[in-house]
Amino acid sequence: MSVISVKNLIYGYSKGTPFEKGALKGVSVDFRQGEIVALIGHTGSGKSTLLQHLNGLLKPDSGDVLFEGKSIYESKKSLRDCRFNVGLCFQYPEQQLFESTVYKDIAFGPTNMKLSDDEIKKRVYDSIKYVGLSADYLEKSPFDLSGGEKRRVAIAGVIAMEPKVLILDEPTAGLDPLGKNNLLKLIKDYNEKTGNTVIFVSHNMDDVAAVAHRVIVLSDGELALQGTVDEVYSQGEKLAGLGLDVPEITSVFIELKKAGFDLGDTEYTINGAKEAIIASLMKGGAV
Amino acid sequence: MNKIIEFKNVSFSYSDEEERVLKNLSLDFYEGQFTCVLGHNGSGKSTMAKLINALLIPTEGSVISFGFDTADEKNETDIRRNIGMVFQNPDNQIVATIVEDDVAFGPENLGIERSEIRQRVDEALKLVDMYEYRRHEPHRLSGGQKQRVAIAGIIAMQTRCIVLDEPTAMLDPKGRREVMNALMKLKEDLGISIILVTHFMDEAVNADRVIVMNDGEVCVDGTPREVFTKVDLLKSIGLAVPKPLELAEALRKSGVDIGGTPLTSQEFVNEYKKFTETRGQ
Repeated sequence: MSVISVKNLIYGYSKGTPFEKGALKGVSVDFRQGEIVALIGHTGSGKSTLLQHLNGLLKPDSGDVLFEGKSIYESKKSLRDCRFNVGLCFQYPEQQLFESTVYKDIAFGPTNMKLSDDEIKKRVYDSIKYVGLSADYLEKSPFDLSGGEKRRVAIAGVIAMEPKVLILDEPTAGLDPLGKNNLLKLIKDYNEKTGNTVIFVSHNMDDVAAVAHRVIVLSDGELALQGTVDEVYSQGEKLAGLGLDVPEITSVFIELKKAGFDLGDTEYTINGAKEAIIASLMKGGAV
Repeated sequence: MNKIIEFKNVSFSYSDEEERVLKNLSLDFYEGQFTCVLGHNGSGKSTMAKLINALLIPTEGSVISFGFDTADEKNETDIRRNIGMVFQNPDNQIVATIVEDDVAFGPENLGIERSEIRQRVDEALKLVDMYEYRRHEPHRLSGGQKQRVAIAGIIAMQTRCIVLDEPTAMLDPKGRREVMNALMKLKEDLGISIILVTHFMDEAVNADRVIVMNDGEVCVDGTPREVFTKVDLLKSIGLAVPKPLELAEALRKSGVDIGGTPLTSQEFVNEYKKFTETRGQ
């Protein structure tokens, strides 16, 4: 079942000026209940513009966004419903922390939802745990935390609203490998424990391979490719043509194939690659 | 090789109560080298970068940059004339409304003659491949383009060393490649020393030297090959190794040792070829 569907979305920036630019040129896509979707594409491909339509921050020039089958632009109420159900976390969300304590910052969203004090407290404690920080952090000032911790607090603030759809714009940008792995694990956990949909943007194909069920590739405001990680990554040459990186392991496989080694399907994980190489060696009787 | 920067028993803490971020660090940097500094968040690598050009002063010990002690305020101008710095966020480093004005900002402050500035700005922009954008407004540029403008601003001051603190962290893959290519060119064409602080292992693969920081100390120091072969050590301190090497390592642990230390996919293919050939005989 689709939670959010986007129908033939068209949107341009700086309309009526010499800088007019079509950011989305008729994009239609479905986001289904319970899946993790990665959105990839080079800078200027329209990824962030698309995300900002999903909770009605932007209004399309034409086309529609449906949340649970209903247009979000239909009435003020439908837009409000959508905002509480679709949690959008911008790039570098740590720059948006503003409260004096971590507790207050995380409680901001739930408070706006007019939940009871008990419920707000429960959600704050649950979400700080979700993002892998202890309750000791709640009384600290968000500005005393490290970059990675701040980011997790900012995400906790969105999770506390328990959105049916969690959207993260480049959640791992600027994090070190450990911080990155923690964040990817968080995405996976949130999805598995709540059954809610997660949509995230990434430039890192290895990150995408690690958690996404489905991949959507945008190029120049249009849908270029979509499918499972396998389906999309096996088209390594096409991805490269769109100005995207392929995962490093995929490029190892592409190079091996060029050198005349037939190892079957193009692998993109260390383990998959290892198994494929061993299997091929066994077949050749080399091991 | 000429020593350009010298850390002598340097310790640093941001305040009296806080733990030391750098712990008795002794380290030299050499002229004309591309040095990559790796380490996870909080390892002290950015602090070290800021100590190089006197943005920070050691709590204990001393840093000598191009012969000048950074602790002496008198030396600040001389140090910064030799060492330029580029930071992570491209939007925080642009001061002018036109690209070429921004590049001219540094040399203007040095009191250089107008015609000379014109020439330096043009050359610097050509070197980072941004000449055709010289009359553009910086805020309409991509992240990678902005970073290259920031780098051009430093070259125009004719500094001998550039320190970059995670300059590609906020860029997409294309922007990262553009910046890395520009840096390689500065090293090759002008012999400028580069000190690059980064999280991206693949940026370190082509460096002359890789320094890995952990917990305020140097943990490994050597050529990329020497450093990356310490797979288990790097993983234990939260760092990744280049994927081709990780794959070779995974194979080795499963009893298939293809040999060598492939850092790139091409190197992996070469090792694999050699391996299958010897097996075939």
